[in-house]
Amino acid sequence: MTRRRPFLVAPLLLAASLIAGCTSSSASGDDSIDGLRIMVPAKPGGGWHQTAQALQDVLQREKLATGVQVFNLEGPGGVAGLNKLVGEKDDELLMQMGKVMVAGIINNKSEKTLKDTTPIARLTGESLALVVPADTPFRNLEQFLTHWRGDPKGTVITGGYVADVDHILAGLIADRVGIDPAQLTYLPNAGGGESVARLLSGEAKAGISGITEYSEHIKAGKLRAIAVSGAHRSKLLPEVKTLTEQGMGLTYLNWRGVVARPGLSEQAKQRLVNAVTKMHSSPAWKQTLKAKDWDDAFLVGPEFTSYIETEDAAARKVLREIGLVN
Amino acid sequence: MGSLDLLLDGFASALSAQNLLFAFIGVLLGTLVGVLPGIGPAMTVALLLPITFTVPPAAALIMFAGIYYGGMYGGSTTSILLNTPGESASVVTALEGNKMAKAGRGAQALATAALGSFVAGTIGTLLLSLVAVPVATWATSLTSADYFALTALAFCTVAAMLGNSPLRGVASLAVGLYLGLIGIDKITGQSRFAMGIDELNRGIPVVIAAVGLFAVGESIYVASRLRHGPVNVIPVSRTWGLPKADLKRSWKPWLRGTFIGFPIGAVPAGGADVTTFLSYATEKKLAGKRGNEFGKGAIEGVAGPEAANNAAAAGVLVPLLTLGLPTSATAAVMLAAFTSYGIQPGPLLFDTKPELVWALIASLYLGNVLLLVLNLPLAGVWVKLLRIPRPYLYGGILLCASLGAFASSQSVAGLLVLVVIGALGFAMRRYGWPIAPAVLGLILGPVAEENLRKALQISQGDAGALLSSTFSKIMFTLALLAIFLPLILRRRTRSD
Repeated sequence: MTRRRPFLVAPLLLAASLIAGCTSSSASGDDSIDGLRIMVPAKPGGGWHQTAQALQDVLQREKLATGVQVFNLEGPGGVAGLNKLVGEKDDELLMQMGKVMVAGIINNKSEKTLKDTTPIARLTGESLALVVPADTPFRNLEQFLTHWRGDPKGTVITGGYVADVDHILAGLIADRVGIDPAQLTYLPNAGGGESVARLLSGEAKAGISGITEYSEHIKAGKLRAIAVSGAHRSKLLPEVKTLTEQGMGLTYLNWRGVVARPGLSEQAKQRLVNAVTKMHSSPAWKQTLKAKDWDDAFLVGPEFTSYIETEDAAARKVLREIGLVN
Repeated sequence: MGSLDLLLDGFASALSAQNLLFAFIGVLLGTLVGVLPGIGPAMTVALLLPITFTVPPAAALIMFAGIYYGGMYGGSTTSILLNTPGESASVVTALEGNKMAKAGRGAQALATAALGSFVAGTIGTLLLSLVAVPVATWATSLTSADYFALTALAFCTVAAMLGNSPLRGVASLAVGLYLGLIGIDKITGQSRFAMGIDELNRGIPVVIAAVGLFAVGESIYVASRLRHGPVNVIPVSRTWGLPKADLKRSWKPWLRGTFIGFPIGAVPAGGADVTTFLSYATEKKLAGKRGNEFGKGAIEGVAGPEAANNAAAAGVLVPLLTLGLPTSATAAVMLAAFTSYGIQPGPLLFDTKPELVWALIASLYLGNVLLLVLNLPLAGVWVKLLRIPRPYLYGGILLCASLGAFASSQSVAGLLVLVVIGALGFAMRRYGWPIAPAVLGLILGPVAEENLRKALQISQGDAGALLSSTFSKIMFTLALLAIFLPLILRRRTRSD
């Protein structure tokens, strides 16, 4: 009968290690933030999650914070995470957010907005790629646009979620080349990665998403990139021209940043701003940006706050043109 | 790189200390829950899903696959010695196995079950490594309409074949489909069936639903009828091997079971349970003059079905890995594990995560060897487990379930959802509704809806597009067959 105990204990041990994994922390430097938490309001693996993990990694390596945990709270447009943040009382909590959330709030008609948070910093910018399946006749942007103009409704464009940056860029390009954005046929997916399957099956004529979502398939010869949306070419796809280079006066970056709970004291806010500012100037962060091919889009203080307002107005305008909101 | 090189790399990764440890924990836990009546691999994987927050993907998935295979081994022990199947795929094993045990041939029954499971598991894994890449390559051409047709087929077969009442199967599926609809619709941003509760707007997380339906429901159910005396386990001597005469009678059923189990497991048609019945029927038919032994302890009736359920477990992994479609409850919960890492099983998985998939497949070969070692000489140890007092066991399960629900939702509301779904699971269990269709409905329902809407969006509302490809026509035909064939067969047996 003595043998039965270890078997019973096994699942409990697993549970215990789970709890321990969440609370472990170690001794820290003088002004470092102890037990910082970063909420990712989306599922693991995506762009927000990667940014939060990079932040966690560099903050800890530079001893700017200790015991940093990243956790996910999934929900459309990140609105579930936003609602959670608004009710928080924790000063050492950052929420990962970005351009996607600005549009997500509008599209989901959320009562809470980014005005209900304390903006801390904009950190990175990422170019999007416009791709076509490798077996289509379109060799370049011009050929594809000609086809699109000829059949705006029948040309299916795919990418991530509805009202995601991918969707918005599709609308912006349409508008720029003289196609009514309301005619856009956009096939949404749960994340840009899933749009690859719809491109390879031949259902979608073109796809728009983050370069990292497509780069592996481009290298494998299954997709062909015909444009990138940033101001300059991507290091991952050096031979692909930007939209501007191809005569379309349009640059578009998917930026990501962090915000804190509403009603944060000036002192607590300054602590968080200082930590990310120091992190931003560290060589480790520059290394991370390079490895991930992210642009440095660092912006703090009132400039970041007013930037969010500009972005909100711009997103509202495009979503109205696409016909998603009235 | 060819598949063989990738598989060898997979072995290198699977043999790393960490992955080997998780494979071992997996098969150990799998055998354990397989042995214990009422706790199956689906529920165990569901309970352990929260470890995906802390453990690297390869290790966790290797462990889950070990639990899946282990459950198939362990279930037979309980069937043979207790006449209570440890899990649903071992129901048939009890028919002959328990008779053998009562006749003092328990050791031989356990040995043929374990060896048959090993043979079938290994051949099944080999077939999986051979067909996975071709299937995945072919699957890249599947359209949204094709996927919708596949899910429709899965719904029809699961509801019709699982459990003994098709009506209850359909009702359980409907419950799952409904749970899958709750929350904010991603396409329109509309809130559906949330009843004004903010927590429900995020949808019912698969982890909480699976843990609630399987673990909480089962625990309450066991507690509700915990009034009978101690269990009667038939004592058995050490089992080290199979006498020559029994081996001679077993090897053909093993192989036949394997080739019945794998293909049926691999098509979206209801998973492992069906194959055990088919294998049993086949063996009975082929027994010839030995046919009269069936019902009195024929070793073929243990060897065949036990091989079939293990081969089916390998077969189930084919659609799971290459199409992202689960065809059994355990596979459905494993899919949730993949997605919680941001990994989408499907045609592109072999391109994007080759190292992960091949480490997983390699670990299945190793897991089979580990399981043989665990089950053949140690069968006696597992039997002792059947004497664990139920209150301790289910108390521990409820604790783990609550912890898991809280960890995945980060809120007390998650626990409330767990309690409500647990009560639902208890009611379903109490009135004999199978749980598996509900879990499959919850997971596949949103997949079906998404693909249906995509297909209609692409065709600009023309419903004919759903039947435009040959593949979707075949799938819908099979779906109709799955509904009507059992009805026709039943009518014929009645008129006989």
